[in-house]
Amino acid sequence: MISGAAAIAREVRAGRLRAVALAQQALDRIAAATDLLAITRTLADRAMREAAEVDAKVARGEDPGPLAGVPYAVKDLFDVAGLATTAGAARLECADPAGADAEAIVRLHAAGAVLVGTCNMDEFAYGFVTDNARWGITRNPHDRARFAGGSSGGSAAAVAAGLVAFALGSDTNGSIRVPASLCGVFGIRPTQGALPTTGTFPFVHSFDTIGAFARSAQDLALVDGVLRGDAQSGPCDFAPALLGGWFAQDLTAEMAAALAEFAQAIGPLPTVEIEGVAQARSAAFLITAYEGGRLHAPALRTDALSYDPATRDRLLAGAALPDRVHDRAMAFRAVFAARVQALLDRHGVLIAPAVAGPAPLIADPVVRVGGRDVPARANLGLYAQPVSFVGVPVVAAPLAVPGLPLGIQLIGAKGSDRALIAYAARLEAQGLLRVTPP
Amino acid sequence: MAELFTGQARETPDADLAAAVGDVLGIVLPPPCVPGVAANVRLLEDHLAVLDA
Repeated sequence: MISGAAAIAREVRAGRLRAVALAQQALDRIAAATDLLAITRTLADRAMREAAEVDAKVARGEDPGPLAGVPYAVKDLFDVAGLATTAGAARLECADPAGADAEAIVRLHAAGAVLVGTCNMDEFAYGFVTDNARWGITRNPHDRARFAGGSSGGSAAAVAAGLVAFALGSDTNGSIRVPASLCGVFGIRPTQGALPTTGTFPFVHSFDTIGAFARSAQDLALVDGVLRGDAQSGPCDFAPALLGGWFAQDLTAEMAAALAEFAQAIGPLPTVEIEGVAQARSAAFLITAYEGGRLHAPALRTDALSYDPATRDRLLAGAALPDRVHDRAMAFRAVFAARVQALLDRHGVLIAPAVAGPAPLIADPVVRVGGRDVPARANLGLYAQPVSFVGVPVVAAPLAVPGLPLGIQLIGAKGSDRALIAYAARLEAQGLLRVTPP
Repeated sequence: MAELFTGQARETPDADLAAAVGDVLGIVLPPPCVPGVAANVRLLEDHLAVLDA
């Protein structure tokens, strides 16, 4: 079965595959995988209509676009015309339906992609596990007893399980990179502000980004190019370095070994450290709580009990943070960004783990930090959060390892998104990165 | 009323922290929120200490 976005689009454009058949197959796969809870709502009517449009264009000899007939899904914080945008929250299930599609969906539709469903997420994107009071827990396709990661866990699981060819998510503190890594697929958190967030439910305006998941770097480049409106590849002649210090602490034995083997294969790599990573992570944590809390404060004042308790109590506490804390954290952001940029000027790309190890068990929802077990919901972003803090692009990529997926971050300078994906594609071609089907 | 984010949260009872958060927001927090909000105030205070270190 042809399942990659580039391959599907090629076959549809050539008239060898019909988009309506591909859409139906995707809907059938989703129906057969409800135990994953990756997809919360299927969009059969819309999918068949969009697919028929693509087939009609092919029949007329028109170019249906670079993503012709490719089935995809979106995290349920993207507006889908006619559907309530729930952001994973029961309290928004009966909200007014969106009047129009999010800008990202508009661009994908214009490129011929076919939207088949919405994906599960942590409520209001505040978590790293994809577990909410309305829908429940998204399961990891590689081991259903484990988390998929979050907050875009439904999107990552849908792609890893082969339900769709690609999916959209959002990344504020790691919400693409964490689930991509735990589910073993590629994902990109783009340069802050590079892709349109119009028509998406916000969380933290200082950090919010949208991005894609795919099963190959080539597919990631294709989707990212459509979203960006520019499919040109970038040069990727980097002198990479491995991030040490904070990023070498608390790794599981399998991640430490896999990372060392990877670094040896492309190196040997120099190990560099950034001063103040702990402060950066805490600053990101505080900014998130402050901005997320203020966003939700009006609703919390009148209807706090309609929130998922795990989200509600974090937002309430954050809403009480004084302005001085946000000011202090933002001031440190500028300092830390300069330190990161200095390293990127020298190396082009920095490599770090995306998560400490494989996906945590749902029955044991903790990760080990500093010798203590701490909640996975808040702490799976340990290595992701300090990086997105400064707005640089990051490609999350699966190491070619046996067993449960382990992911790394390829971190670049602002604007180097396409070069980072090209670099990931090169490493994938060398067999060092690999998506392994569940 | 307890003062928030001054390094005292670990020594302050849940109810007092929740009351202080409610005071900032201009509401009385519903009882189910009290333990979780207090725990999160302490967590944020820990992060503030790291930032200020």
